[in-house]
Amino acid sequence: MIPRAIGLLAAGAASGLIGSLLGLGGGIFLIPALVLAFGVPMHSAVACGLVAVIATSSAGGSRNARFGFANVRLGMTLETTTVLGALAGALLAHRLPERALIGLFTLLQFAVSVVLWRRRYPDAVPFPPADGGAHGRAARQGSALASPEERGLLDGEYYDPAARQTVRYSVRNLPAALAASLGAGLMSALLGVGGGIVKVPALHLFCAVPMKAAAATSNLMIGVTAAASAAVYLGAGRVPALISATVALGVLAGSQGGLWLSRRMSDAGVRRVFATVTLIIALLMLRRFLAG
Amino acid sequence: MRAEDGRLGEGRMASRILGGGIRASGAIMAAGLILAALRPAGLPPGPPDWAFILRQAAALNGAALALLGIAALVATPFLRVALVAAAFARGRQWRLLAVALCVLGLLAVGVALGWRR
Repeated sequence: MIPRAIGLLAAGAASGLIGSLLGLGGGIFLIPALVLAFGVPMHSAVACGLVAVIATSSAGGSRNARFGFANVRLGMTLETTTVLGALAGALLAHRLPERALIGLFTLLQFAVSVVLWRRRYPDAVPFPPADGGAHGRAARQGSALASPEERGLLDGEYYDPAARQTVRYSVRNLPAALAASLGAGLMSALLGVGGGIVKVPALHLFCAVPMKAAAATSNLMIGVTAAASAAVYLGAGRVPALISATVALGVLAGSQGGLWLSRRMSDAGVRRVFATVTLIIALLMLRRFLAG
Repeated sequence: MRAEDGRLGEGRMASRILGGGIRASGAIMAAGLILAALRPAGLPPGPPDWAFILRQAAALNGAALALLGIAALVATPFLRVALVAAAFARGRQWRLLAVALCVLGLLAVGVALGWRR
C-alpha cells in the first residue's frame, strides 16, 4: 500500500512540475500513468486528472497572480470562449468521429512544435531597458505602454527574475486568442486534455504575450475549465477519493518545483521545453491515430 | 482607482483565494489520507450524500475527509472567478465585470447540464 501511495505521489509531483512550468494541466501525462502503471480504470483516471489540473492551476495561479505572471483580466476574458467550447464539446462528444479529431490534434501539435522551435515573438518590452538612455526613451515612445493610464484594459506587466527586468506587453489579436480558447475548450471536452497545449502557443504567437505570461495565464484558466467538469464527476460519485487526494497532494508539491524552475529559466528556455513536450505529445497522438 | 492599482488588487485577490483554497483543501486531504492509513474505512459507491459525508468526516472517516478536501479544491476556481468579479465591481470595471458574470453563468449552465445527465 505504501509503495503504491509513494508512486501516486510521485506521478502527481511530476505532473504538477511540468504543468506549472508550461501552463498545462498535466493530465495528458498523468492519465496514461495512472492507467498503465497503477491499473486505475480509465474513467477514474480522468476524474483524478481533472482534480490534478485544478491543483496545478490553483497552486501555480496563487503565485503567478501575485507576481503578475498570470494576466487575470486576459484569463477571465478568454475563459468565456473556453467554457463555451467545453460546453459545446461535451454536447458534441458522441457525435464526431474520434479518429478525425485525433488526426487534427496531431497535425496541430506538430505545427505548433515546429513554429515554437523556429520563432520567438519579439514584442515583450523590457522596462527599464537594459541599455537605458535614448534607446529606452525611443522604445517607450514606440510602445503602446508608455504609462499605466495609456495601457489597454488587458495589457500586462511582470518582473522576470531570470532576465532581471520588468517586462510589459500589449495584448494583440484578441479575436485570435478567443478563437483559440474556444478550440481549446472544445478539444478539452472531446479529448480529455487541459487545453493549455493550444492556449499557450496561441497567446504567445498570435497575441504577442511573452512565453512565461502565456504559460501562467493558461495555467490560471485551465483550473476553471477543469472545475466545471470535475464538479459533474464529483456529483456523480465518480471521483475515487483516496487516489485523487494522494495524486493532488503530489501535484501541489510538484507544482512548487515547476514555479521555482520557471523563475530561473529564460523565456526561450520555457519555449523550447514546451516545443519538446508538444512534439512528444504529437508523436504519442500519431501512434494512437495510426492504431485506429 | 488607477488601472494599475486595479490590476494589482485583482492579482492579489486571485492569489489569496487560490492560496487559501489549496492550503485548506491540502490540509483536509492530508488529514484524510493519514486517517485512512491508520483506520481504513470506505464510502458507499454512487452519488455522494453530502450530509452523510459530513457526518462521516466528523467521525474521522479518512475517505470522507479526503472527499471533502477534493470538494474544497474543486470549489476554489469557482470562488476565484466570483471574488475577482467582485473586485471588478469595486473598481468600477463594468466591461470586465460583465465578462466575469458571463463566465460564472456559463459555468452554472455547465454544472446544471452535467448534474441533469
